[in-house]
Amino acid sequence: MERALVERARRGDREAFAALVRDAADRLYAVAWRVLRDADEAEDAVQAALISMWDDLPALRDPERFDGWAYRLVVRAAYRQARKSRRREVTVRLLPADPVGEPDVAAGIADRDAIAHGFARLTVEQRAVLVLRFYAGLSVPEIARMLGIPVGTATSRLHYGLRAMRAVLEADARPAPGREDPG
Amino acid sequence: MNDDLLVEARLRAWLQDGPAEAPRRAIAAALAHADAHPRRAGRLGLALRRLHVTLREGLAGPRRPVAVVAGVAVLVVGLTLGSWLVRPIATGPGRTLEDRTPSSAVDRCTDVRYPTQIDMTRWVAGRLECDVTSTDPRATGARSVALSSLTVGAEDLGTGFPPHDEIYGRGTLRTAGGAWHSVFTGQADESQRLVGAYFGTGAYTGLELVEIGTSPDGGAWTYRSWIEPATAGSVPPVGAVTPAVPGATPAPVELAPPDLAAGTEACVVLNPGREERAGDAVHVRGERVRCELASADPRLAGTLELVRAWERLDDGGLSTWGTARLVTADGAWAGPFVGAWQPQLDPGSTIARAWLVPEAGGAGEIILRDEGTATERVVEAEIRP
Repeated sequence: MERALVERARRGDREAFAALVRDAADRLYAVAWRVLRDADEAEDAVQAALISMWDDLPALRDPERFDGWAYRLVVRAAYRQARKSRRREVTVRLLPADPVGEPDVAAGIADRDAIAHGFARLTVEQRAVLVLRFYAGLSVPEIARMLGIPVGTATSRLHYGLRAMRAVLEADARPAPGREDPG
Repeated sequence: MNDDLLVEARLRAWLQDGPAEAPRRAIAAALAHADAHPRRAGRLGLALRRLHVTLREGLAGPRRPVAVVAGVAVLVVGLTLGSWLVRPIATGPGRTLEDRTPSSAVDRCTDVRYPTQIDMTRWVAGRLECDVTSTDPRATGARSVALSSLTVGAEDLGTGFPPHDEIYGRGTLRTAGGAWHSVFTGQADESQRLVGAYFGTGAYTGLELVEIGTSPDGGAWTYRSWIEPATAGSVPPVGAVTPAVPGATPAPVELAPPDLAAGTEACVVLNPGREERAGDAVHVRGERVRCELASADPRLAGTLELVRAWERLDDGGLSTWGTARLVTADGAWAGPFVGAWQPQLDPGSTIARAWLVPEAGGAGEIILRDEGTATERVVEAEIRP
């Protein structure tokens, strides 16, 4: 079904393209939002990716690779979006803390805060690899191929991203007086 | 290890939280774009329209997703019009150079195959067939070009070069008297420099045809090209690696995605060559350089020897070309290389590409990308076994 849609859209069928867009937009937005952690920037990135999809679809040689190609477009758009706002502080949407909540709930919120804090400190390239690996479920070789980087580079980004996350989480877990700001 | 797995598990769970639906505005904007830009036959025409827009706004400005298309079209301009300016040159450094600003003749090329995107940053296996008319009959004929493009992000590769798009590839120019084989590379950044070095075969053995295009202000491009004796002893084995044969049944262009390998490079100058000034440029010929390549991939680890020529213009631009020979544990690879100086960076900052094939003959090729400053250099190779 999708292959037929892709082939029709490649030939300029606007309705086929509309069907592809409606099918892909949600998951592309999910990736963009998780990489950028900002709703407005994610919307801009997805819009740019969908426009590129129309412009560049004729160059997609194998319709079976449409899904990976679409991810590639949105990650690329997210990179550009992140560079536009490079000088701005990364906005991380945190869940509001609930001071009267149950201990387990409060602990869960604190944990999410700590993860968000660590994630915000990563480069956009590291965030993209982590999202593709742990949200989209791609393997490292798949990520490398999709991003056009050597497997070693993808592995390195994954490794250093996780290491940075771990450092922040460990620092966050220490008693408050001893808490340090890594980096 | 357990801590790492715990971090992964927490991150995986945390990533599950988030919006489930894309804003409808983004979808509507994309569909409106499709309505406003119906796809027409003839991708080259689309590429050229984009080129005009991009050049008018300046390639050095904000990056655009169509940069690769613009790059392709720039290449068409460069390879076609640059050849018009070829003139006979009796000797090497003593020649007279002359700038021109061409304005048309893009339609001399036919877009046989649009580049195919194989990953997020790479487009490969584009193909152009061009009818070339030159003031020099040695450069009048049919040119076949295989071209690729790479989008370089600030942190994707190497030594901190600004994000930019590069176009590169190889070409063959067949004329009545013989053939020229080339590798070319260029980047759409502040330097705006496109360099191609064609090495002659047949009646042109021992000669090289050099083409350099620049557009430092992001406006119209200026090309200079000439024929000169090849650097002594540097003729590469291009006869064995003709990438494409013009004609009614073009030879297939390899579409398989390459293996990628990365490494670092440390170089020493073995012989500085000879340096002369002519016109607005300083010419260096016969420089010999040896580089040690370190890589986890044994196909890239080894010794790289270069015989280089330089053109250093008074405007700060610099282009280089020559031949390269890479010796790895698997054997020796050889071929031409070209590159350009990044004038906005430190002296010695270059991006160059070599096109290497097995010296002993046989299948396979390496497109070696070299990037760096005077003190730090990295290499990346596209390897097609």
